[in-house]
Amino acid sequence: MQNTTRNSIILAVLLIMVLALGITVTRRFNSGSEEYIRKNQSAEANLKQLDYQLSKIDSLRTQYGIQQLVTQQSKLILGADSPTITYQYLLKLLRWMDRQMIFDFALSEGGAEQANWHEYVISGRGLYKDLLHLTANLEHQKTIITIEELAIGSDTVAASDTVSYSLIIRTHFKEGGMEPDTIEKGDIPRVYDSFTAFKTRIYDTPPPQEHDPRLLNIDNAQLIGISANKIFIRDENRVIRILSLNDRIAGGYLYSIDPNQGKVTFKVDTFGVWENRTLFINQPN
Amino acid sequence: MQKHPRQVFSIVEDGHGLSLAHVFRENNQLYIDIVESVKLDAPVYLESEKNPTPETPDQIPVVDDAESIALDEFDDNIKEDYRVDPYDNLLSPHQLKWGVIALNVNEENLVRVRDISVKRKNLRRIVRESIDDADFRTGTWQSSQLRISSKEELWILHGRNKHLEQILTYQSRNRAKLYYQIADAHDIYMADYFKQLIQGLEKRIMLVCLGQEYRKILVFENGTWLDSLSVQLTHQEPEPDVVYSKLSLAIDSSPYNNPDALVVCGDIVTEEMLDYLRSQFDPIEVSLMGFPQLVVTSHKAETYEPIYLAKHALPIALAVKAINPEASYNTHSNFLPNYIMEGQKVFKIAWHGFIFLILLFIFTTYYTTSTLKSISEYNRSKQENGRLEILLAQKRTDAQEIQEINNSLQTHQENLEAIKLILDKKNPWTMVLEKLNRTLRSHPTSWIQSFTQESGRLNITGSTTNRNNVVAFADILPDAQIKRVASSRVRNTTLWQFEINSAIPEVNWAEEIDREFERLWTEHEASKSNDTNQNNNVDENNSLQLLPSSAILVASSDDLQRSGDLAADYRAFISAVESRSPWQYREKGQEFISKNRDSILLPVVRWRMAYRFYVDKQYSFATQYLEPMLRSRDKYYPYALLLAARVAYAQGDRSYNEFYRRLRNDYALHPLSTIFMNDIRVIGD
Repeated sequence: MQNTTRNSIILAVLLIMVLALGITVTRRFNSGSEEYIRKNQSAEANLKQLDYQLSKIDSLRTQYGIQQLVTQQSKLILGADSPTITYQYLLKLLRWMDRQMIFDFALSEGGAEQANWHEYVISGRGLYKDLLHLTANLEHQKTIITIEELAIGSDTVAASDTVSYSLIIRTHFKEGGMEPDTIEKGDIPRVYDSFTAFKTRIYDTPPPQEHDPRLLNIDNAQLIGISANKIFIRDENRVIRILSLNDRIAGGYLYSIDPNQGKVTFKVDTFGVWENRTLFINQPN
Repeated sequence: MQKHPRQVFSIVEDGHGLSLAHVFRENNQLYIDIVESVKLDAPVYLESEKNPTPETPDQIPVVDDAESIALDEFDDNIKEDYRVDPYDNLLSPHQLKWGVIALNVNEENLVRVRDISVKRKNLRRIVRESIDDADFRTGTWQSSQLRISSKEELWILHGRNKHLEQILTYQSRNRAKLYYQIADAHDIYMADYFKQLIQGLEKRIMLVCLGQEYRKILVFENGTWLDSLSVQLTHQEPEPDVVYSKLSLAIDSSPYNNPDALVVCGDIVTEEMLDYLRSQFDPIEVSLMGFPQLVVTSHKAETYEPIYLAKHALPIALAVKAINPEASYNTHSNFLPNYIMEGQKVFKIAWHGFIFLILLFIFTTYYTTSTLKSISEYNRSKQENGRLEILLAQKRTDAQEIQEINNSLQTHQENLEAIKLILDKKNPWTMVLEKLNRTLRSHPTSWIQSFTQESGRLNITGSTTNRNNVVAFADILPDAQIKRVASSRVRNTTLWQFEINSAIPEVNWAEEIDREFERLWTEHEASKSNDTNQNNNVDENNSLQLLPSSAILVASSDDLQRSGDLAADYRAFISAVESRSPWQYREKGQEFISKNRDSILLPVVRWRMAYRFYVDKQYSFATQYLEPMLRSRDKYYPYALLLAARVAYAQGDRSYNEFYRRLRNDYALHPLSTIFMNDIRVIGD
C-alpha cells in the first residue's frame, strides 16, 4: 500500500473520529444545554409565579381570611362518617331547631362518587312544621347532606297538622374534610312555615274541636229575645247570654239579626267551610 | 526514499576498501564533487578479524602526576584505543546531512532466488526456506522482488548489515541527522548504471568489476544484463597477467561467447593492467568505464581523471542510481531495514488525502467552534441554572407561607368543587315545600294530601275548592303535568281532587356558594376601599376614569358565529370577567387562552383580561396579557394602545407618552379618539 493511500486512510479515519467526536460532544453539550434551558425556563416560570404570589401575599391573606369565613359560614364536607356520627348530627340539628321529633333511623347503603357517602333512611310521623324545619336544616346547614328522596303524606283529619314522612339522606365525606365534632351551627335562611300545606281544610266528618268554654255553643242553645242589634240566648246550662253582631261563638260568629222575622244567623265552620246556622225566637230545641 | 534528492553521498565498503562519492544535481545536470576512499585494516564482514571500529572508550586511564612526567613511556592500550576510525576518517569531513545516503550490502549475505514471483502471503515462507533460521527468527532480513532480463527474481539480504551499523554508529556518535536513500547490491546498481551507459548498443559487452573484494564480470547483450560471472581472483593486488588469465578463465567457462567489448573498472585497475588486457584480448575492445553524464567540478578536474573515476566506479554508480531511483532503467531494489525506512518516512498525501485533510480541517474547525459554543452555552445555562436555583430556593423559603395558604385554598377549592358536584341537582325540598306553602296559601282553599317521588319525578296530590288553582299549582313546578282532576261534594261545597306530576326543581347551589363568596369578598373590599379612600383622597383626583362601555372591547357577532362552540366559553369568560369574583375570570381567561391560541376571539379575551387586571390594579399582569397585542397592528391595536398607555401611566412609567403619541398620530379619527384625547387632557401632557 502506498504511503499516500495509507495516509488518506488515516486521514479518513481521523475525519470519521473527528466527526463522531464532534457530533457526540456537541450533542452531549447541546442536550445538556437544552436540559438546563428547560430547567431554567421552568425555574423562571416558577420565579415569576413566586414573584406574583409574593407581590400578592396581602391579597392571598385576604383570600385566606375569606376562605376561613366561608369555611365557617358556608358548606363543608365531613372528613369521616358513620351511622353514629350522622345520628349524633341529627340530634344536634334537633337541638339547634329546638324541636322534638320522633323518627326511625337506619343505615341503608354506602358508596363513592365525588366523595364517599353513606345513605340513611329516616321515617316517622310528626308536625309538618317540624318536618319543614328539619328539611331546611338538613339542606342549608354547613354539613353536606343531600336528601335523596322525600315522601310526605297528610295524616288523619283528627290530626290534620301532622304528617307521615320518610327521608332518604346521604352524608358525604372526604379525606381532608372537617372533623364532625367541630361543626357548629350555621345561619340558615328563614323558613316560611306560617301555612301548613298538608292540613286538610274540608272534611265530611268534623274532627274533634276544642273551643273556649266561655264561648256559646249554639247546638243546644235557645233564642229567647231579639232587638235591633242584640240578641238574648239561653245556653245548655240555662244561662242567658247577650250577643251583638260579629260576636264570637264556638266555631263561628253572629252574622245577622232580623228582628222582624225573629231570626238570627250565625256563621259556623265545622266541616272546613263556613255554613249558615239560623235560630228563630222561641224555637223549640 | 526521496524521489528527487539533490545530493547523494554513496558509501561503499568492498573488502579492505571504503569509498565515498558525492554526487549532486544542479539544473538537471549531475556533478561529481567528491570521490575518495580509505583503507580498512580489515574487511567489515570478516568475522575472524578484530573489530575494526572500536567504540569510544568509556574510561580514559587516569595518570597521576608522577606518571604524567614519564610521557615518553609507550603504552599499547592507549595507542590502540585512540586510533582513528576509518568511517570517521572518511565521513566526518563531509556534510552528509545535506544529501541522502546510499550504501551497498554485502554480497556474501545475499541470496538470489531465480525465476520466482513471490506474492506477499508467500514471502515469509520462501524467505524461511532460503535463509538461516536464526536470521529469519531475529527478523534480520530484507527482500526485493526484481525483474532481471525479463525474469522475476527474489533477492534476499540476511544477517547483520555491518556496513550500515558502522554508519549508524558514526551517526549516533556525531549526533548527525542522516537520511538513508538506498542500500543496494553491487551487481544491481552496477548493472543499472551500465545499462544506461550502453543503451542502444547492439553488442555483447562485459563489464569487468575488479574491486578489493567484489570481482565479477557482468554480461550484457544488446543493452540487457544477462548474468554475473565470478572471477576467481583472490590476490589483493594481482599482476595484470594473473588478472587476464582469471578473466579469460571466467569468460571461457561461461556459456557466453567472447564479448565484443570489455569495460573495466574497480579499485585494482591500473593503466598498466589496462594496456596488458588490451594487448591480450585483442581484437576485443577493452576500455575503462566512463561517466559521460557526470561533470567533475572544476577544482577537482585534474585529480579526477578517467582512471581515477573508473577505480571508484562502485560508489559513483551507486550515487547515480540513488540520485534518480525512479528512473526506468533502474531496478527497484532496496535492502534498507524497514525500521530505517519507516523512521524516515515523511507525511505525504495525494489528492484524496488533500480532500480528507481539507474536510478534516473544515470539520475540526466547525466542531471546535460549535463545541466551544456549546460548552459556552452549556456553562452559561448551568451558571444561570445555579443562579436561578439559588434564587428559587430563597423565594420558596419566602413563599412558604404562600404555599401553605395556596395549599389550603386549593384544598378548599377542591372541596368546594366536590361540594358543588355533590349538590348539583340536589336538595330542592325546602324550596319546593316553601313554594307550595306560599302558593297554597294564596289560593284558598287548598291542601296537599301526598308528596312523593317516582322515577325521578315529583308526584303531588291534593284538594282545592277552586279548580283554577290546580293550574296555578302546576305553574310553579317545572315540566308539570296535571294528571288528574276529579270533583266531589262535601257539605254543599265542590272539592277538586287533583294530581300533578312534575320534574324535581333544581337549586343552583354552585351559584349560591359563589354568591356567598362574592358577598364576603365585597364586604371585605368595601371595608378596604373605605380605608384607602380616607388615606388617598389626593390621588383619586388625578386618576383616570374607567373606560365607558363603548370603549370596552367585545367580540363581534360574526366572530362569535364563526367561533362555533367557542362562543359558549367566551360568554362564560365574559360573565366571569364582569362578575365581582377576583379569581373566576383568571381561571376562565387563562383556560381560554391556553386552549384556543388560534381563536379569533383570543385578542378580545386578552384585552378583557388585561382590562380587568387594570381595574384590579394588578398592572404587571395587565401588561403581560396586553403585550402580545402590541406586536401586530390589527383592528384591536388602538384598544391595546389605549389600555397600555393607561397601565403605563398607572405604574408611573413614562412610556405612556409614546403610546398616547401613537394614538394621537395614527388614530385621530378612531372612535376611541375622544377617550384618549380626554386622557391626555387629564394627564396634562
